[in-house]
Amino acid sequence: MNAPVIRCRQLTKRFESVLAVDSVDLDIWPGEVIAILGRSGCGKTTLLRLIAGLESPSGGSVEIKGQQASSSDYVRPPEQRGLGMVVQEYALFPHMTAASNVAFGLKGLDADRREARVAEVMGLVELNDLGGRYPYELSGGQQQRVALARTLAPNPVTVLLDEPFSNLDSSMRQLLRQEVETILRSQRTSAILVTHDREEAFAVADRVGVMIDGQLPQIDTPERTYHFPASREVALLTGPCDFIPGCAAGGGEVKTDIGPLVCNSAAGELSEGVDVDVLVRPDDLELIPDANGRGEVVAREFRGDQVILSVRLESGATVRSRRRSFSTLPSGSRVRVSPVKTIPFVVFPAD
Amino acid sequence: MLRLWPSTGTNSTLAISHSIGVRKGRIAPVVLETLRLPVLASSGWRLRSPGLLTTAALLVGSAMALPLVYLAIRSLGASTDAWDIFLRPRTAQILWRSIQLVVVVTGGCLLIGVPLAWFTTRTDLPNRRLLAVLCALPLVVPTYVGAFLYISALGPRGLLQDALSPLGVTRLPEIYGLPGAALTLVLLSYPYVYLTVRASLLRMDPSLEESARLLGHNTFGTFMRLTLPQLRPAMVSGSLLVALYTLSDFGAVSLMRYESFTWAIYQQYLGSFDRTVAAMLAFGLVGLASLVLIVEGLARGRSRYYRSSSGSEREQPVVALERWRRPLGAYVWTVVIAALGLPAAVLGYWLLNGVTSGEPFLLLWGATWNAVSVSALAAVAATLLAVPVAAKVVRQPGLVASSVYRVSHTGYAMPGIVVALALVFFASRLASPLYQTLWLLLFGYVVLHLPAALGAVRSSLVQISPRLEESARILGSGQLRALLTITGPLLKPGLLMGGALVFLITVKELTATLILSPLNFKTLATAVWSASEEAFFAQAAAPALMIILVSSIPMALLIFRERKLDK
Repeated sequence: MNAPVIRCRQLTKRFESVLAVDSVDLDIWPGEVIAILGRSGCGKTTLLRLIAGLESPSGGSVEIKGQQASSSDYVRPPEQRGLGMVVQEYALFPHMTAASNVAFGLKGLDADRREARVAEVMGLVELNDLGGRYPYELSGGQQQRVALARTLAPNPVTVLLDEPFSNLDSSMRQLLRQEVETILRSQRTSAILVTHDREEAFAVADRVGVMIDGQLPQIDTPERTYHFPASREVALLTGPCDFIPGCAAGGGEVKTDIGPLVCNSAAGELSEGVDVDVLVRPDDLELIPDANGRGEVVAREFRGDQVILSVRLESGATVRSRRRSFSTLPSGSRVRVSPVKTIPFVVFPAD
Repeated sequence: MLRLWPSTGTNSTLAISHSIGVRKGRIAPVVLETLRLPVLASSGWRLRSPGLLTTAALLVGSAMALPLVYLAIRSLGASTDAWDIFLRPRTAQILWRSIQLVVVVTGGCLLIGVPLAWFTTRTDLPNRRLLAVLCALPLVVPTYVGAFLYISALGPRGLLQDALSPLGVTRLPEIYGLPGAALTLVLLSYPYVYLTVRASLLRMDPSLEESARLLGHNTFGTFMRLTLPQLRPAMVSGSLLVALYTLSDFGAVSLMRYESFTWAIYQQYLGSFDRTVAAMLAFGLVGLASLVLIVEGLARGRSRYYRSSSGSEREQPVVALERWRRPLGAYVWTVVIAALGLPAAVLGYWLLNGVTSGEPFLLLWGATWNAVSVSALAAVAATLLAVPVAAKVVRQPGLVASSVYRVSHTGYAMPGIVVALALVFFASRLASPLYQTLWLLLFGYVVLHLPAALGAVRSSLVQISPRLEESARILGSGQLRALLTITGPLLKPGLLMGGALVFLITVKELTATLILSPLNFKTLATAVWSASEEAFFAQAAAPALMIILVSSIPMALLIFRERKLDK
């Protein structure tokens, strides 16, 4: 149990002039759920397809259970990898019933045991009664479950999930996400979930890998990727963020419009007098109505469960702050902005 | 809608002009623009063993290119004598006649096909479902059958004149020459325009027309400003089919004694010792066909047409014809009667005539068996050979794929007589064991009709997501099992469709059959031809009817499938 089930080393894929996946190092440990978060076109699906053996790498390697599976001169065929994959469009075989779809990957079992296994996984996804239906007779959510059942049936080493929820409406998406997570945890199956939805990534994953332009600049727990992003790009991908200009004052403090802030720099120790930008998220700051406050509320966005207020600071920077839904601070109010974050802020070198 | 040809997209047409060698020049960018391949399904299987598929696709592609290449070699290596014959003013006359015929027939088909398509899809014409099928049916009547029926009905000493002679009518308008050839070809090939336009009308997004109405245009304005312009690509590709069909037609022009290219080539082939001139004329015909393709590219224009909503499909709006119902209905029925009723009646007349005068029908069974078996073989061969090419172009798009795809469309732009002659030249010089064998005939059929099979197989394959094969692989199937259990079964309708299409057009095929058949190998087409060439109409009637019956089977299959897809 001390070895990763999948190990990617310097994995690279080039499509003509485009570097789709660029020197990615990634380990997936047994039972672990990893989310790969990135915008469309960042290479995350290609990464998954490289691991699945559906693409051949231009460089680097993939190991599965300690054995070489892909390198630039050898690609073990996908059918010999023992992985499972669920894709965005589910790819259910349209000419087979749900049960036959699920049974498709169960080779080398006698008929009774195959049937038992199909029943078992269909039960897992709560579709016991729908095995005789054809894919077109199932709703989107049901198709998704069949796809998951089909993938889980042969007991894959790792399940690869390629944007599996993006074809569902938002309430269904949330429900299925929880179900999938429960099933994966109960089966102790490791999984890689590729998604562009940060909420999904944070909610499901043990670790989140942030993918930008084919690279994985940060792989970390959801909390750490959110609170301590390795770069501005990572910060932008992991949540709403604003930057306040500041000046390093030594001792880990940065002077800003809203007072001195305790900061952590990704770039190491900050020398005094260096200009920096401090990352603030909407829940890092509190607004206190104050006629003499230095901030002015310039915009107000009511979201139901919360209100997002935009505040312009003296320096001209605008920051957002989250308030409760019943907050009635109108646009144009003067406010004092006070940091409430109990952990250090993150700074990046000024542009 | 019936897809009789793969060219409703822009790809295949570009493909052809490419394959028949459009020279680089001012037109090239336009042609390239129209020829651009559509975005194919995302690159699925780039991985292992592309070797086998690529090899198979390349083999098929080279085989398809063979006739054209050999023809070019023969023509370019012509002696000065041959050039002298080729450059006579008569060649220019032939060229001019062919162009005239193409223009008249294409225009006529548009005039008939477009209104018919609109009436049967968008209006409250009575019996419009029945008419929709009837209007497509002339397609099963080969032109040489149609021509002999029209001649025997409307020609000198024909049935009409017989009927009119008591009234003192001794002369009817001349049918031989351009009028007869054009009449026959228009009435039998307008379905190409009708079917493509109809398909386009059925696919059209109703919300566009609704928007036009909301923006203040009435029915007529909407039709003129929105519907008609949207039909342009369909009209263009339908016209392209008609124009190429007209250029390659041999039966109608020969029986109507209209000296166009195919006729001249055949005469040259039969009559002269040096066949090089025939090859050169054939090459000239290919040039004319590529000209048609260039014109088509220019006519296509630059706008793109698409459905704006992908949501659930709604019924197309229906226009109430009101007081126009009767006159327009009469128009549609007139076309149906002229293109279908009249030939059927005349055919019945001759059939009866043949039975009463004791025509021997024994010959018929042998010819039927020959036609059906060789067409079935051609259908199977063309469909199977289309698979690697389609798979290559859909699953591994790229330079190799698109080149093979284009080359495989050679037969689409090359008239049957050209392919047949090229193969005769080739076999008689370089592959004499094949000369005068069924293999050569079969090969000719496959070259000519592979594009039809390719269109059907490709459009079926495009709909099979590569994710399905990939999922099967990840679930532990090898390539072969994935092919047999997933792709194969899903591809079956496409294979069936392609096979039916090839069978349908092969049964009718005349020129390749005439030229490539082994001695004494008679098919229905050659039986009709030799009888009607000698004006033994009673003798021609039975095999003609048999062709129509035999090709109705796959036609019924295709129409049935269309109906199913409609629902």
